[in-house]
Amino acid sequence: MIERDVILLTILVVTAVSMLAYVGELRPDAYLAITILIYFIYTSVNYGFRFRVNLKFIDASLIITFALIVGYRVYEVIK
Amino acid sequence: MYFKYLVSGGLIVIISVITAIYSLLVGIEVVLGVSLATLVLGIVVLTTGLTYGEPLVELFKTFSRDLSRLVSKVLEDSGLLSSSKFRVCLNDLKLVISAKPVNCLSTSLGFGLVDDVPYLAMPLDVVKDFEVVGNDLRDYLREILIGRFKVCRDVNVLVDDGNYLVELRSVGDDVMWLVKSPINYVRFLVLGLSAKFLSSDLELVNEDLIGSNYLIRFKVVT
Repeated sequence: MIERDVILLTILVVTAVSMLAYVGELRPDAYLAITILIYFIYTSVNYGFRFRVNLKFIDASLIITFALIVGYRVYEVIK
Repeated sequence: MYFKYLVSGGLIVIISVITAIYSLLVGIEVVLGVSLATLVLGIVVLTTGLTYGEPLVELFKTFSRDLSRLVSKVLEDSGLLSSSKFRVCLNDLKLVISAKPVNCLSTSLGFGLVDDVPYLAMPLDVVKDFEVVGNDLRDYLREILIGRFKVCRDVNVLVDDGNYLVELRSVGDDVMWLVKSPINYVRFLVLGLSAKFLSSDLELVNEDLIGSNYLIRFKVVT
């Protein structure tokens, strides 16, 4: 069960990253932000993963990272 | 703890960090982006390895501890805890705990008295799931205790003058609390499986815990 969850998450991340690379995306934070989004969407949809693995620390770290990325981009636009 | 994911996650994190540093030095932004994405994946896999646990395992542990306390109390109150005989009755697949040997056919599941001797008969339904395969008790026990339940790392069986000695080597830490509890379920399992394999009633002679090795000596009751 957990094997399937990890493999699915890996496939989703690899697909998204490949697509970004294919379209010629150069900003590293875009890759990171998309990966973080995929992580949150996947673990929300497949809640069984959260039952088996304690993701609190990663959740907090990734939310902060995502907020920093978004904040930086907003700052860039405002500036 | 899931060792496979611990190692995989650790390797992914290390490789992605090295790649990220390299891309920063060389200035390839695409590689940096891919490395950061892989780093997130690696951390998730690493966390899976560190914190993975089946949701019902903890609940069942608590349940079995509470149940063990209850049965221990019953045994204590009936004077069966200190000097008791353990006998596996193959007819109903049950383990009978009594102060003196009792006739299996006179007992039924639960607490009771046979000729003023109190006994507690517990079901061994788990044994029903395992068909006897082969003609070696050691292989049979290894298949179930190591292959299925991961109780220990090795099993050895010695037969000496009608007495069987089953040695469970390197019993796992998670299982050790069961072995040390008054209601030692590992004892039930070994006796039940052995009785099924030998197709006869068994009686526990003695048992010993030496370090992480658990030894059970039993005899066939004719």
